[in-house]
Amino acid sequence: MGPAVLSTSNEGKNVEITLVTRETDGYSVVEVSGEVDVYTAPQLDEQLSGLVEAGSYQLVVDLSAVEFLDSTGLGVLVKALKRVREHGGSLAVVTATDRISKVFRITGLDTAIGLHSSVDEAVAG
Amino acid sequence: MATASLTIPPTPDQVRLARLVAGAAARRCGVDEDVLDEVRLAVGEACALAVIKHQDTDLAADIRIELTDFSDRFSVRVFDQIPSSSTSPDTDESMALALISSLAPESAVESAGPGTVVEMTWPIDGPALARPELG
Repeated sequence: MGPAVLSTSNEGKNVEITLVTRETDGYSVVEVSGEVDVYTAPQLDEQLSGLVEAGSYQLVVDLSAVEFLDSTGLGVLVKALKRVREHGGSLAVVTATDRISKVFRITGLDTAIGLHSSVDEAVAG
Repeated sequence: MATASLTIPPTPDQVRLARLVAGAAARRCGVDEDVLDEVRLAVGEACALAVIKHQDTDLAADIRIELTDFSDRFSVRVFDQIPSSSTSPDTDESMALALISSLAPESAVESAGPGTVVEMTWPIDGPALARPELG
């Protein structure tokens, strides 16, 4: 049996981002699809902030289905990373394309945030 | 030399439009297909930066984007109405500027009129796409 979907947002609406959160092996995995930019990043911020406030400090953000990521999206991830670390937690990112991982490399954030090729790899650490 | 202009209100939802237009214009001018993603990302960063600066100062004035085909290079200039000296770069702005300077072979941030312009330039390697013949 697969992990239960805990929450979704924007399903069925004409927006550029979809967020699905599920639990697996003690991690909260946020699957993101669409585009993460200055318009949609607040929705990701709200989702991650909600998880931290609810006591989830082991986060995996799956960007495999993300077609576009800009610095506002990176800013949201950095903010979430700081918040989970305050609680001894962690935040890892899954990327499937060089288009997305390149944004982390250019900004040097690949040294602060672990990039993985799959959720299984991210959970395994 | 041909220049197209795009004016957008300073709202986050308009940034996507600007980067799609920039990507389409770059392709039409003959910018290498492999760097079109970089054009879109850099232009998106510059526009997002302008939108955030306008919103932070409650300025409703439009943001202007100029796309110029110089035959051998493609240039995008994003004009905001906020003097560069009126805001100090924060972490997010620094990250955006780092991305822009890495993605565009040539980039500059300068004063322009009452505000600031971010200029980004990419070389044009191939011939521009042929315009469809009319009639």
